[in-house]
Amino acid sequence: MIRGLRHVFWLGAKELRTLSRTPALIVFILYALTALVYATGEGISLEVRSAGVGVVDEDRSQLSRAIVDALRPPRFRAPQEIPEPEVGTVLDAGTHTFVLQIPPAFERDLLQRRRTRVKLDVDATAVSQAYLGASYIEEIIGREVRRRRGAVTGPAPPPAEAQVRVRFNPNRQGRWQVGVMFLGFMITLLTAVLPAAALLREREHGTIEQMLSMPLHPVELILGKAWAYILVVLAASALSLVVVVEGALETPMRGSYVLLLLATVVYQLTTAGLGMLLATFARSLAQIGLLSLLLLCPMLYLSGAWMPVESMPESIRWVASLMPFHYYARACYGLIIRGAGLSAIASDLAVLGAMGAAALTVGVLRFRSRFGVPVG
Amino acid sequence: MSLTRLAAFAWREMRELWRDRARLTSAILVPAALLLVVGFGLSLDVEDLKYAVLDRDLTPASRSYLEPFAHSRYFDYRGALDSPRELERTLVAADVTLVIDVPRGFQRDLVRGSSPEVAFWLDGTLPFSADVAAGYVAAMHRAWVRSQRPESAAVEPVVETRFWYNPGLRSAISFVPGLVAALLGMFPAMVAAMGFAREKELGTIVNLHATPLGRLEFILGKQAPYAALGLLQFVVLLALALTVFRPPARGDVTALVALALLYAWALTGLGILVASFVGSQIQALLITMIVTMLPAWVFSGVFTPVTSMSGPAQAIAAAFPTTYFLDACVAVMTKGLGGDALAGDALALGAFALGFDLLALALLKEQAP
Repeated sequence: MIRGLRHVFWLGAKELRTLSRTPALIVFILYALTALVYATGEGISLEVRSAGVGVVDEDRSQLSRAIVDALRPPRFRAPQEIPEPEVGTVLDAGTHTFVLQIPPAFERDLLQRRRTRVKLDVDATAVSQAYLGASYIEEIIGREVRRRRGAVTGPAPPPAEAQVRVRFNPNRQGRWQVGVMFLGFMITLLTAVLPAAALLREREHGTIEQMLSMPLHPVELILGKAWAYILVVLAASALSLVVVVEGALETPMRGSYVLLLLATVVYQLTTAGLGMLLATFARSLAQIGLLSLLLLCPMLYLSGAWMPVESMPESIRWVASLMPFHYYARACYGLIIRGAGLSAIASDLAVLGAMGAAALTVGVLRFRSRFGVPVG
Repeated sequence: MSLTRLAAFAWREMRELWRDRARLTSAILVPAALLLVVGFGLSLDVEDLKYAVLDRDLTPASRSYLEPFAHSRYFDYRGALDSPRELERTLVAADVTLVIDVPRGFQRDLVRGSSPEVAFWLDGTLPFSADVAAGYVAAMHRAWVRSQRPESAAVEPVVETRFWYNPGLRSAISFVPGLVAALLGMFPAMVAAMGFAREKELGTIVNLHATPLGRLEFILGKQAPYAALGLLQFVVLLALALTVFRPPARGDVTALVALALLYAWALTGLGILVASFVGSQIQALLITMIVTMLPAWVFSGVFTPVTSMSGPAQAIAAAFPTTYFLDACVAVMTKGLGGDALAGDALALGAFALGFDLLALALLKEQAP
């Protein structure tokens, strides 16, 4: 057992030395975990932001002006008056996502309790914005109408009020979730691909036969190759957490760092295990590249970490529960944003541990048959 | 520069690529599989939001207020909380996304006309979910208000919303054209980078110095098979998109295919450029992945329009070919446009293709013995 650990240690040390001789790779690992996380955190959101609005205001009343004024940053860019014939052109060109058309005598008809209608044209190719933005605009119209009517005919309190209170993130900052999520995703990418690529490269260069002639158990070989990269990625991620996520993206860290470290290490072991398992199926580095994309792409889009699981069609939701990233992201959100404790993330850690153990077991078995390991 | 020499070299490279069937098949199958899986799975129609109820009133009025939520497909009832202490715990553990908190005296205040306040506690971890949930909540509440005061309903203005290009707001149509461009954004670059780096690593590149090939012919010839592969990948994805997902309008598809060739050329040029910097395949693989993945899958505008991105993200988007090809794909497949609408994108893609090749040429010059 001690000898096994020593083997693992020296194998990893060798990997670290190789890595230290390739500065380009180290630079890109750091870049991926810091600058890219910042850029996505700052720049990407699914909410309506700076959406272009065009207005055809044929009423020009106090009410119509109030409605137009209510469409303001950060959600909307200041609305632009456009002539009615250009509505289609503007939508085709994509310069405006929404075009609101207010008919003449709108305010007058409304106050005299006649039927009124407003036209809202939406560019639905701006997917996340189209539905949310349209529903905001409807709410804004309703609110301004009630306010105007209240000002003219006297206040009419509603039967009851619905007060929405957002916990953990009252200002609905998108940066927190996106930053944490992409940091987790970059950890996934690097930890899945690096050890697997290192393993395959030895095979391509023929040095794996040398390895196998040594008294090494496949488990030692796999763990030995993996821990160096896990350590490097972990260190860079810790840096990123403090400098980028907490610092630049101003995300509060409400839970325990120790628990976060534990969750990350378990996740990395699982991901490295999966990557190595993939490596036993691939015959070349090129194939590993392609196969890892096959894993990473659904992990990004369908794990429920970026877009919520509830947004996926019901028949596809089980796919999210197959992905390790789903559990890791959930644990991270709980620890970082909600301040959850061990009891809340225990089940996620358990699932990750089970997945990792399974991947490692299958990986070792396949390793034996793939590389024809004679040692026991 | 001799075209016959270039053609001969390119042909040789293509035959070599053709021999590696395993790599070829994976290169075609993987993006196709991804388009199917992600195309069907991606949607922004949020339903089944888990919620719990803290009914402090427990009267017929409070129960009738809460009932529509249980029947709504947008919400998924997970149980009633026994005490306010559980409210915090259940939200922190993310057992539910929403807790509806009906105050004590709801019915009494309702009857008296003193407008009681129902609190909706939302989990703000995923702001998008929270915003959508808030919208649903507001709509449900308005429906309840209308049921209490039917006479007020008649005079609300009707907002006629028309969703252009995607009237049913089918998420598959919304994402698939963008996905075609995004998915393609990595493969040609990765395959080209690794192919090039492999030769450098194995040393077979030295052989080429012995041939009469010029530097430009060398680069173009190396790119040719990978660009052709990229075009083939695009055609497969396009066919899948049009037959399985059926986007509503068809614009100038031929022009799109021509643009796809430019796109593949630009991406393979990028791959070769990256490979000129590195000494090993692993580095080529990792660095190309990191350089292309987020710009292709995230910043290109698949979900978030580029115009609503801020600062550094927008800069990254503008500096990568996928953003422009995605614009073209959406224009042709969803909006049904052609010609003029594609001109700007074609220009940008051409500039990328030229730029990457020139840079790679300059770097190759420096490395010549």
